[in-house]
Amino acid sequence: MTTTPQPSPDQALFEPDGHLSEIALTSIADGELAELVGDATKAPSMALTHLERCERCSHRLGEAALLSMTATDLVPAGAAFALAPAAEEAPRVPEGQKTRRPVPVAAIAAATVTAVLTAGPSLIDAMRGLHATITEGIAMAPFLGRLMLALVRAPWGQGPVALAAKVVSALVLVMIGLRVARATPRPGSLQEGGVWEECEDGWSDRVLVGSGRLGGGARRGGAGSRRRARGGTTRRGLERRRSGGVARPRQPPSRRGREAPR
Amino acid sequence: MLQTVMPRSERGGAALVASLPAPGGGVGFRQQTAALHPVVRAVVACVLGERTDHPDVEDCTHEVLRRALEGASRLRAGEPLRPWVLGIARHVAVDARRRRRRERPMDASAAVDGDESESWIDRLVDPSPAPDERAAGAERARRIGAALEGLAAPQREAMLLFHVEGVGYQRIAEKLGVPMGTVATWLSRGRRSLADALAEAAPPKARRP
Repeated sequence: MTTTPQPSPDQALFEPDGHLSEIALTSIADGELAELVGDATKAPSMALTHLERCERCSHRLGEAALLSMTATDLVPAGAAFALAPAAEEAPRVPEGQKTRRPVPVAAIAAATVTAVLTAGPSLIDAMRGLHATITEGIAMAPFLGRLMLALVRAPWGQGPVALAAKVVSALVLVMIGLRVARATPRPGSLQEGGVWEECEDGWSDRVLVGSGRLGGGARRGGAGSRRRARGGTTRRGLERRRSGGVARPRQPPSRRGREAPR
Repeated sequence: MLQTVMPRSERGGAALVASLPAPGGGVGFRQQTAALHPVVRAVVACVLGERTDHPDVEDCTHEVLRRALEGASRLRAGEPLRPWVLGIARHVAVDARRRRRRERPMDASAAVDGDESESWIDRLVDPSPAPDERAAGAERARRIGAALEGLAAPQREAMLLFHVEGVGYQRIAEKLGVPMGTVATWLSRGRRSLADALAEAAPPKARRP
């Protein structure tokens, strides 16, 4: 029966050319030489004696020690990446598709078919009576015109009261229109992931910024909002546009107010 | 420990340490520090790129041992001595290397211009990240992670046990069922792989001076 002979400590620590082996240098660099070959033999002593006089082995020992230190510095961070589950890295969705929802084609088609089936007879009747309706409308037009003229010329339709009522009604209509316009979602709005960010003029004056697009407007009518209303010419807005939507760091308002002009 | 098996080295280190004042640490601490003299000197010589008997290497080695002895009180209980002292050695040697470059700017610039094959040691001696490297820290960690994943499973296990959990050769060998020499070989080659990954991560000329 033959067995593979275990290398002696001399064979493990020294290469055939007499220099220290990779095992010896690594274990010395890690402080594990005594553990590796034991204190009882003379091999460790011989290895360290060789180190004293061999420049090449001493340089390789320095390399091994530096590698060991660097690995100790870097391996924990790398291990976090290596051992992290691959599922954490979800595929990136293109920017344009993040807020786009699929069109419910089936639902629209079903609703259309249902509407046509249920309202079809009524539409056919309406088409049949369309000519008579138009004729009746034309016949009633002079009467309706005279009625409107009479209403305008009525005593309560003239004078300062009537003028005030017209102005107030016009203002109400304008405000309702503005309200409807502001309620309409826009790209970069809060509903679509936009964020409020203070503009250059003050902490109370904010601008809505969403995905690199300068949009929205200030709720309060500061100087910055007025400039933006004329085309978004605030310094911060221009810088953001130049830098592709990345705003520069801000200073607290107390410091900004005290800054000396440069 | 190592000092029990290093007659000449220990004598050299012990003589050097004995010449230093001893504001902190006991006799055992001084002996352990003296036992690290060969490794400290090798690290300093490697960083400086000089022979071990160069005066700058001797000065730096002396400075490392002096700082270790004077700062013995800063070593926390249970903290291993070897990495701490070798960290001081790396710091002192890198400082000396920078100082030499400042004192010899023409030589340094000529060396930088003419050095087409930058050694991996230049990338490893100073682990503190430069400003540009801080931004690339995640990328570097990812590359190190990829290099670790590229290792064979037992070799990666040995690397993690030694460098993350601080397990010694003997316990790693017992756990993985291999001789301790194999553990040493795995660690050495695994570190080389990491160094190669690190060298690929950093462009050669975009380094600090």
